Amino acid sequence: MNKKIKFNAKNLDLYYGDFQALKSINLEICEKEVTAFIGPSGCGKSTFLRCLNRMNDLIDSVKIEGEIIFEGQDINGDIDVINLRTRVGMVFQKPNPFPMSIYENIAYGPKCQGVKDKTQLDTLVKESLVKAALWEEVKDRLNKSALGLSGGQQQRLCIARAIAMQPEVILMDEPTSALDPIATAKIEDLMSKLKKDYTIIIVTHSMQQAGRISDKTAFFLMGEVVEFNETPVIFTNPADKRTEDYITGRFG
Amino acid sequence: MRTEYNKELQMIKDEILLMSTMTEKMLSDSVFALNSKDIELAKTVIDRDDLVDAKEIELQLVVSKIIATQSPVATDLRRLASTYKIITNLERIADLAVNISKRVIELSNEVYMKSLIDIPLECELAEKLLKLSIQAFIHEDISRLREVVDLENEIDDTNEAINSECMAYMMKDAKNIHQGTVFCLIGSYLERIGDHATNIFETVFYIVTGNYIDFNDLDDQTINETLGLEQT
Repeated sequence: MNKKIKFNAKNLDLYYGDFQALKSINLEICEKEVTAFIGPSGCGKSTFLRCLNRMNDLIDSVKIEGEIIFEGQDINGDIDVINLRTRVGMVFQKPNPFPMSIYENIAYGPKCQGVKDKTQLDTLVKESLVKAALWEEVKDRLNKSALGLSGGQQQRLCIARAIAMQPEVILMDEPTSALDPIATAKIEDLMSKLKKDYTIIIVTHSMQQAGRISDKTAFFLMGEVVEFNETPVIFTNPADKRTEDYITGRFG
Repeated sequence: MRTEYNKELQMIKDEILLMSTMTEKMLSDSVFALNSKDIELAKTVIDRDDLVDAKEIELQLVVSKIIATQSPVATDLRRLASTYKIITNLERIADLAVNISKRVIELSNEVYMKSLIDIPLECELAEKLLKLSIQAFIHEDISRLREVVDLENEIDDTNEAINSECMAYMMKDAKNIHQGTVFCLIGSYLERIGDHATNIFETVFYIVTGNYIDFNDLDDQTINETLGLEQT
């Protein structure tokens, strides 16, 4: 079954000043799959992830060449970046809830988008929390501060907050690296459920995590994509020796 | 990098080599005992089976421990997952050597109806095939694929020859039926040993290439293509 291509990076180069952080990246990311980016620190995987919703715009010295086609449009062109970031949500390494109530954390984005109707907001908050597998744990304390939640709950709240914007894609930059194994397992279960509705792209340093949750894996090294393939192939029979050396821990 | 892990992987190879040597010796001793009617030697083969069984369990536990603690992937994973198959095949070969030895004891008081030629030959071929497969595993080298296929066919042909010859002896004289049946059985044990040795080579093929190949359907062209692929 041919899946629809959600992102298509074509000859993407990225420079931080004189330093070339991404070198001619060509990558097709399919819709409603989990795609994992792996590679050693500084290999460009997070930089590439941030290209997908133009987060690198916030860094002055960045220069980008090449294209990233998202739904037929080059996102490096003249587009509405706010709209792009609504459609392509992001969850970061450290949970970063707003210093507000649980309810307000979720309702904040939709309110900024102009949703004012209380019933509509209530429904959106509940739906987002249910989808993020957090509703049962917080339904009786929606008005309590989000900062009182555990790390794992805070991260799921951040996922719920991203979902509330009804995105098409969720980018996750090492979303479980600050969590214990139980909270990690919950987030991983959640990703498997969410991929029915969303395209998920995750940067992870855990080979086991990439193996467990992703459909496809891209191995980045020194700004290049060395290998991109179905995850079981990458982890049982990688084509490139550098991939094998990295995933078996013999790299360096 | 990963010095301890590499040591553990090397240790498994060494232990498989040891288990294989134990098994090979049981096989050659069992057929030697048959030829020389050496009951004591046959009995030691039966006793040595416990050592091979223990080695299999020991290796299973070591491999499980490495899989649990080191999370192997890629070639390491194929190597470790294949270890289970290789040691199971070696253990089965040892069991078949025990079966041969039991038949030696069974025939101990009988004068053989003929001198044994094809059984020692079949044993020699099976041993050669086993050695070849284990060497392939140790060096992770599948370049001797053609020899493996040829040896397996030769073993099958020899087994057929044993069956036909025994059949002729049994038809000639009903007194030969017991011995003829036992020799046919020994021939089939050796043929199965050949199959187990081939299984080991098939497993090595998977370790090296990541693919399985059906050795029953291998023709010259496929062998050439396979080896050509491997060389590139």
